[in-house]
Amino acid sequence: MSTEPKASVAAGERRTFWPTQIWPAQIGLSETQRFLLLALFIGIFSGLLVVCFHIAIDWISWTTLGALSGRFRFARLLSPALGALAAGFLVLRVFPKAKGSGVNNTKAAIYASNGYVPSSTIIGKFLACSIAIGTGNSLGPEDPSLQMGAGVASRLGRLFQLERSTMRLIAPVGAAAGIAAAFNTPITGVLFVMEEVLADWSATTVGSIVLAAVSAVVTMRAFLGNEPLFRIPAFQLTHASELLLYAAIGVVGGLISALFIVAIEALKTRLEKLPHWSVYALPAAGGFLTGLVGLWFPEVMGAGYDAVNAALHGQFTWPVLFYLALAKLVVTLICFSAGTPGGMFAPVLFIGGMLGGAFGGAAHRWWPFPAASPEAYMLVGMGTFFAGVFRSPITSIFLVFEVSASYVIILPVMIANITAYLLSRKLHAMPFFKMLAQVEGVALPSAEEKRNFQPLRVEDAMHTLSSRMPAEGGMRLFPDEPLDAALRLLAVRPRIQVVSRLRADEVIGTLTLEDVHRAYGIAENQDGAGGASPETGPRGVPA
Amino acid sequence: MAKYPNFLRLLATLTVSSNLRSTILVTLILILSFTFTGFLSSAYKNQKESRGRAHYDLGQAALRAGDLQQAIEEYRKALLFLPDDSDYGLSLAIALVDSGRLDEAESHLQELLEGNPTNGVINLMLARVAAKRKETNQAIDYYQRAVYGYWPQSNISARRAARWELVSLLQKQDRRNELVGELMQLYANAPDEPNEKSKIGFMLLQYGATSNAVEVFRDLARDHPKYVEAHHGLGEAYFDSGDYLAARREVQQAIHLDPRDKENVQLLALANAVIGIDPALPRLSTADRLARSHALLERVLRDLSECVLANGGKLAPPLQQRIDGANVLLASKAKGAEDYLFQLQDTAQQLWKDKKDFCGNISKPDRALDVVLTRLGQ
Repeated sequence: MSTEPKASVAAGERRTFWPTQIWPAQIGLSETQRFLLLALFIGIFSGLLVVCFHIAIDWISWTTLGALSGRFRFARLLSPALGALAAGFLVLRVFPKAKGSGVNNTKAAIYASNGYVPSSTIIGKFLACSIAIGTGNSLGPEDPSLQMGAGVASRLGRLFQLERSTMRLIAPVGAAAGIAAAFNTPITGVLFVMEEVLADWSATTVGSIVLAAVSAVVTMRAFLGNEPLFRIPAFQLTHASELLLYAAIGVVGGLISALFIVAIEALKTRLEKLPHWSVYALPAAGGFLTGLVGLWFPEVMGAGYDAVNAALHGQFTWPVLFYLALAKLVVTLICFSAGTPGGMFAPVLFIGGMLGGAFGGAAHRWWPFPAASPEAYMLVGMGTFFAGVFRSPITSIFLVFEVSASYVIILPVMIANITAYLLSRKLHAMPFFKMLAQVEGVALPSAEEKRNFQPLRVEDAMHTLSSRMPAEGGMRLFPDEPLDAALRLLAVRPRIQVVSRLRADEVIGTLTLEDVHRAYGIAENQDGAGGASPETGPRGVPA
Repeated sequence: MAKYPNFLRLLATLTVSSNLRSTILVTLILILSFTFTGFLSSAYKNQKESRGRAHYDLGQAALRAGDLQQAIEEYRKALLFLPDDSDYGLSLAIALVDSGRLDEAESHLQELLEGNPTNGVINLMLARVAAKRKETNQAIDYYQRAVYGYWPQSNISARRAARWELVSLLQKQDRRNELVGELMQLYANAPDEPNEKSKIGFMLLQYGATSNAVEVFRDLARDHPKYVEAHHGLGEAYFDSGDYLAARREVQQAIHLDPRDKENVQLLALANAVIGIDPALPRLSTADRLARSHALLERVLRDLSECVLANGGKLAPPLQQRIDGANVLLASKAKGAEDYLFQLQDTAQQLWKDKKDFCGNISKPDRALDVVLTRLGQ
């Protein structure tokens, strides 16, 4: 089976004897329009797949854990272990390409495989993750849904023989559809993919991703109903002083999320060094520990959304919320590091929500000013932990906004999430998904790093004139243009004049190849004059 | 190409154009997927419904057996399967309120209220939550919404029960005007149930809404002439409104219906005593009024003297002056003037007040005199 998509056959190469040009030429669809139409199909297919996935997880959960608990107490202990064993076997022996993080696999498809995601991934992820999560392992269905969506998109793209450049964009379209349907939140699905997976905001990309996400959510709702992910009680900001509490949640969330990433990195690295046979035993061991914890805290088993909903309705006191957060943190850490198939989104929301709720409960009791109900803090807590772990602050804000449908919550969420994001970044610079990729030995770009990268501009390299001169005809540059673009002109002319954007007839500086070299830190090294290091440019940019 | 028939062209298109083939293939798969997912989700929903119903029934059984905690657990599980089912949510909320888990109950109730803001039962439960938390204003607000909200026809009596709960809360808070208003609303919508109507009437009397009480008891006595409480209540209501003759008539009727009722006998005695001394009784001549007013002042002075003697005979100078003034008034020659009549009554009231202040509970209460003088003061 080919691992690369075939490039489309050019229209001219086709036989003209047969009326072959019905699609797209006779209908009059360009490649971009075809891509948008395909996005619609991708969304619908992803939505259907997520519906089946959701049903499969629930059915397995009812069968193995049994909602009519009590007499199923023993099953609760063994179910996750057996489920993880089966899921691990499936991933390791039957569907090896379904192994690993869905986000990273989708990124790999974009940056390394021209949008190719093997179709076996869809079946592998579906089976392994529904078994693992359904039997109670502490992982979530969103990341697998994201990868299944990407797989569906890639399959359809290949079927329609899209061009290579378009194929690269098709996986994120499916990923957005998958995650949007899994969360039942179209905006969050779109934003997460744009912010974390792709970091590309071009009109075609955004349009197709939005189209896929919306159609996926609509399809999902058509079958499973319009039920939101969380049933949120009414929220209101009681007192302005509460904003301090929300900032404090941000600090706590940022701190714990950084620790969480560090712990996963440490544990995963350690477990990677174990003998090969351990890859079969580790998920089962993780499942057994989850079952053990589940005997006292059954709420931590599986994705845990039911427990979050119960907590949002005030079922637990704040110390219980705190214990639940700790228990979930431990079992998630173990399950995820052990390589059990499943995602991190749901556990992260659970841990953040419970921590926020515990914080809010304590504040409600001891804060001297009026404070909102602990449930409001739960929502904010979810956002902070999400922002801290996944380093996608905008998605985290919109996630809370979308699940709560409350405009009032935006302000506290913005304060808390940005605090958590900045603190987590400060404490552990490497983003979660990049860390995972590194542990797995893959070098994938981080969307966060891409966002933060500042390319050098003409103004950083140009030789500024002491007095302004009238511009001559010919090539010219503006100071804010990227330096890379200037290089093309410098290949033609040795010296380019730099003019002001406000007065294009006025030269404010000049740019030569030497200036560019100096800015990139090349000239100094050649001269041996010191300055920037061989690896880095003048602004710490990799040379 | 014209030499090829159309169907051959179509066949050729289907055979050669891979994109079209793909489109048809994808459309077919889509239709199949929709059908499959439709069946699957339908079976899933049925399964959820039956599991939810099973837990709900277990919860109802536990509730009947008096195991509130078990009922709550089962209702919670039922809600996991069908979170949108308002019956399950409401049953859970009611059980939670009864078990005192007010925060959780309120959370569920608020969610239910969002979907059904005029539901009487939900508002009633929220009122109970607020009342248990001593948030009186909030509770009254919810009670009122419950009373004016929607109740299913089969549960219409619950609306009256909710109003009675509101009345009880208003009574505890001593919010007289709202209480009287709610009682009159209760009366306006009351079924033909004499006990409930008489309860309303007596509560109206208790809170000084005498004319409303008269209205209630008069209707009750008319509709149920053999009902003793109706005549007794009407007698009391007339008595409180100052119509002693009518009061006596109704109390006599009550005694006629139930001669063993001591309360009615006492009330009749009091009514007779008041009628005997009241100078404001209707259809009295001016001379009678004057004579009764004169006798009233004498009786007050006599009562006061007895009390003063019992206290050692020492009086404060101002009181002594007022007693002297009263004696002068009694001996006065201007007995025909209208002003004299009012002077006698005013002095009697003033001295009666002095007597109450000076003697307190020591002296024997003269109930009839007290009633007459209080009434004159009004």
